[in-house]
Amino acid sequence: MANRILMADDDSVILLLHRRLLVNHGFPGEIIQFQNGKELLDLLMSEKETEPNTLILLDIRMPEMDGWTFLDNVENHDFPTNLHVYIISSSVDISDRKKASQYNQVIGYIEKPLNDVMCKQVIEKAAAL
Amino acid sequence: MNSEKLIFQIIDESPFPQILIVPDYPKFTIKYANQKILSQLNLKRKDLIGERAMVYAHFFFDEAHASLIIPELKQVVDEKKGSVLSFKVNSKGVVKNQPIFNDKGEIEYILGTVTEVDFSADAKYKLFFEEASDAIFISNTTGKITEVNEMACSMFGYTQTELLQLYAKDLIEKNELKQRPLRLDDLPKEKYIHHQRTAVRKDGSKFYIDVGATSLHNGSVLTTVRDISERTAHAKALKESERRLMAMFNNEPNCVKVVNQDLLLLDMNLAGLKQIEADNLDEVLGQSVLSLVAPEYQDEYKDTYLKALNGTAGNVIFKLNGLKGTTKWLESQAVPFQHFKGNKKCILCITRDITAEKEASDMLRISNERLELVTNATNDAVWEWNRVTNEFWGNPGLYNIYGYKNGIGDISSKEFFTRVHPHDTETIHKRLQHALKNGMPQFTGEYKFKVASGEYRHFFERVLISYNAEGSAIRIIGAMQDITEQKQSKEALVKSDQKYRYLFINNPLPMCIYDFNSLQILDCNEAACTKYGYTKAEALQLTIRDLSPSSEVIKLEKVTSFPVEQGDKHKGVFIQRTKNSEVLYMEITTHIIDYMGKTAGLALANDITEKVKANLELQTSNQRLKLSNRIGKLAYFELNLGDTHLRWSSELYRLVKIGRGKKQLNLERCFDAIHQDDRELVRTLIAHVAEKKTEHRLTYRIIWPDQQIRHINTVVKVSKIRQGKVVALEGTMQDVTERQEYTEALERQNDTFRKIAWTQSHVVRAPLVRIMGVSNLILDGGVTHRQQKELLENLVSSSEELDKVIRDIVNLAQEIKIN
Repeated sequence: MANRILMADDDSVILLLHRRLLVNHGFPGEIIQFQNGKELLDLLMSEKETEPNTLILLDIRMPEMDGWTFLDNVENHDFPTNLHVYIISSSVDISDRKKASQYNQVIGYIEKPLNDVMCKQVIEKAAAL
Repeated sequence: MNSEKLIFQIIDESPFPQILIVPDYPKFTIKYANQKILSQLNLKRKDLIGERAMVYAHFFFDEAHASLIIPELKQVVDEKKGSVLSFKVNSKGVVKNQPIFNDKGEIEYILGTVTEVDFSADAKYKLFFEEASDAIFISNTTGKITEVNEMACSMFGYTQTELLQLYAKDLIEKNELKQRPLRLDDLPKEKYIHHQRTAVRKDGSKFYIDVGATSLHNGSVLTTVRDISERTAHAKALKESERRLMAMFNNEPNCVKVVNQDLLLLDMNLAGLKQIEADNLDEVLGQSVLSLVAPEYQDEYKDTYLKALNGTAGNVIFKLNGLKGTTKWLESQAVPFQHFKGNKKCILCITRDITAEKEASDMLRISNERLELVTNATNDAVWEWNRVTNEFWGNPGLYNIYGYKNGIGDISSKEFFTRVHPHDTETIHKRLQHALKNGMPQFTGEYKFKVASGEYRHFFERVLISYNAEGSAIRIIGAMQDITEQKQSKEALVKSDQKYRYLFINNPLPMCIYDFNSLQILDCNEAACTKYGYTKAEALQLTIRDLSPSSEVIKLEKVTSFPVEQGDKHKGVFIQRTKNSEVLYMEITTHIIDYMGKTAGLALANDITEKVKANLELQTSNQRLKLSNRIGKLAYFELNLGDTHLRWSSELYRLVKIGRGKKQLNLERCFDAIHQDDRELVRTLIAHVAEKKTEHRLTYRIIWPDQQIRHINTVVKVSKIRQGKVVALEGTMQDVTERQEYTEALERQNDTFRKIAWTQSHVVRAPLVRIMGVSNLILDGGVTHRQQKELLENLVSSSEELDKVIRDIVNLAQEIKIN
C-alpha cells in the first residue's frame, strides 16, 4: 500500500483542488505537493531509506523540469523506492497519452480536472500497491 | 554399149542350142546361131546366118508344123512377149522364142532356144494341140471340122463334141461370111493364108480373130485361130510399157560402164555420170576410173577389174571420191566384155551406191557392239526365246538373277514361270497369249520374281515379238528391269503425296499453290476458300495478285521476281483482301516446289490480323506508358546480381542524368550518383530484397551533375530466381523531389499545427481546467466563505487567462495565414 502521494504541478489552484478531493475521499496517507519536477526529483534523490511504495500525480507542463524530463531522470536513476506515476494533465493531445505509456513507472493518464470517479480510482490504486 | 556383141557372147556361153532371129516379118532372118545348135543340126554358121527362120524350122518340124514358126514369131513381135512352139515331129525338143529389146524398147532380136525333151510321136502331137496357145482346127475342104484342140473349145465356148459337128462357116459372123465367103478348096500348100475375121461364140458373142490356113498334103485344111480382140489394147499397153522401160533405163539407179584394160572409161550411163558427179560423158570419157577410187582401195579395185579382164568376174567394195568431193561407198561387179568400140578386151561394170547400206551396216555393227556391251554391263536381264528352235539365250544379268554361275543354268520359259510369284503367273500368261494371238509386236508388264536369294523382287519387263510372214511368233526378246527400289520409293512417294494431300486439304491454315511465274493459283484448300471468301472454282481463276490490294502488289512482285530454286523459302507479312474487300494481315510462308513440272509456290498463310491490331494497340499503349513515365518521372530498371549490370528504360537518364543513350550500366557507376549518406541504405535495400525475396521501397537522394539534389523513390522486388537463388531484381525509380519537398513542407506545417494543438491542449485547457475544478468545488460545498471568495477570484483570473489565450491563438492563426 502506498502510504503517501506526491503531487507535482505548477498550478497552486490545481494542487489545492486535488488535495481537497483526496482528503474528502478519505486518503489516509501523507500528501506532499511540489511546484515542478525538479523539486520532486530532489526529494526522491534525497531519500536514503527504502519507501516501499510511492504514488505520484505528475503534471507534464511545468517550469524548470517538466514531467517528461522527470520521468527520463527516474529511468536513469536507481531509486530505493518503488515509484508509481499517474500523469495528470490538462492536455487532451493523444500524442501525450502515447508518450506517457512508454514509461515503465506510469500506470495511468488522467485529464484535469480530477473528478470524484478518478479520485476514488487513484485512492484504490494507492491502497492496492 | 555394143549390145550385139554382148548378146552373141551370151548365146555362145548358153548350155542350150540358141538361134538369134531378126524380127523382119515375114522373113524373120537368122542373125546368129550358137555352136550347140550348129552341132545339133550338123551345119556351119554360114549355112544359117542370113537365111529365113522357116529354113531352120524345117530342120526341126515337118512341113506343116514348120510353117507355124512364122505366126509364132509374128506373135512374139506383135505382143512383145515370149512364146513356146511346143512340139515337133521329126526331131525332138521344144522351141521357146523370147524377144530381146534394144535401148529404145524395141525388139531387136528374137532368141530361139531349143530345149531337148523326149517326146513320143503321139504325145508330141497331143502336146501340140494341148499346149498350143491358138485354137487349131483341122477340117476337110468343105469346112467340116474333124479335129479341134482345147483352146478351140475354150475360145468358142463349145465342147469338143459340139465343134466336131460344126462347119468352119458356123463359127464366122454371117454378114461377113456373105461378103467374104470361105474359100477352103483353093488354099495353097506349104503356105499360110492369113486374114482377119469376125467370129461368133456359142453364146452369140462376137470377137475378132486372126486366121491362118494352109492345105495339108492329105487335102485337109489346118486352120489356126488367134483371138485378136485384145490386140489393139495390147499394142497400146506395149507402147506404154516401152515408154516405161525407157524411163526405167534412163533412171537406172546403178552405174553401168565399160572400161578398157587400162581402166580408161569407154562408156557410162546417166546414173553412172551422176554417181561420179560428172556433168556429162565427155567430161570423163577416156579418163582413168582409178583416179576416182580412194587410194586405200585402188589396189583391190584394180586387181578385181584386171581379173575380170582375164575372164573372172568379181566384186569389189570401195570408197569413191566424186568429182565434186562427195565420198561414197560403192559395190562394183566387173565382168569381161569383148569387142566394144574397137577394143578387143573390155570390162563391163555395174556399180551400185551402197553408202546408205554401208552406213546402216556400220551403225548396225556399232549398235550390236553397244548391245553386247550393254547387255554384259547392264544390271537388266536380257533374254531371247527362239520359238522355232526353242532355244533360250540370256545375258550375264539374267544368269545373275537366277543365281547361275558362268552362264550355265535353266533359263527356259518353264523355269521362268516357276519363279514368277503365284499371284502374277496367270496375268503374265494371259498377257503373252493375248500379244501372240493379236500379233502385237511388243508389250510390257510388271511382276514379282524370285531371285537367287529367294526373295521376291519387283520387275518391269519389256517384250518384243518377231513374227514370220505367216504371222507366227518366231522370236521373243525381253528385258527385265529390277524396279524394287523404284517401286518402294514410288509407294513411299504415293504415301507421302497422300499425306501431303491430307495435310494440304485438311490444314486449318489457308494454303494455296500458285505458278511462280504467272502467279496463277493452281490449287487451294478449304481453309483458304473460307478465309478469302471464294469458292474453289473462283479461286482457281485468280492470281495471288488478285488477293492483294494495289499497295501490296509491288511488294509481292518484288518477292516473286528473284530467281528461285526448289526448296527456297520466303516468309513475310502481307496485307491481303478478301472477296468482300475485308483487309487481312497474313503472315505468308512460301516454299518453292515442283508442281506437275512447273516451278510453283506453296504458300501457307497465318492470319495475324488480331495480332497486328493487338501490336498496334500495344504500341499505342507503350507510347502512352512512355509518356506517362515521362510525366510521372518514372523509370524501370532490372539489376542482374551476377554481373551487377543495370538495364533500364530510356526514362531513367532523365532521372539520374548518367548513362545517356545507354541501355545498361554498371551498378557501381550508379552509386556514384547517389547521395553519399544514402548509398549504404540503397545497398542494404538491395541485399534485403534479395535475401527476403519481398518487395521493398525506399526514398533516397541522388545528386545531379549540377549538384542539384533529387529525391528518388524506388520500389524493388525479385524478378528472376534460378535454382532457388535470386539472380535478378527489378523495380521502378520515381523522382519524388517535388513531392518530397511538398511532404516536408506539409510535415513542417503539421508540426506547427501539432505544436499549436499541444499548446492549446495545455495552455488553453489550463485555465479552463481550473474553472471546472473550482466550480465543482464550490458546488460540492464544504468551503468557507473566505475560501469561497478565493475560489471565485480564481475563477475570474482563470477566465481572464482563458480569454487571453484565445486571443493569442486567433492572432497566431492570422500570423500563420500571412506566412
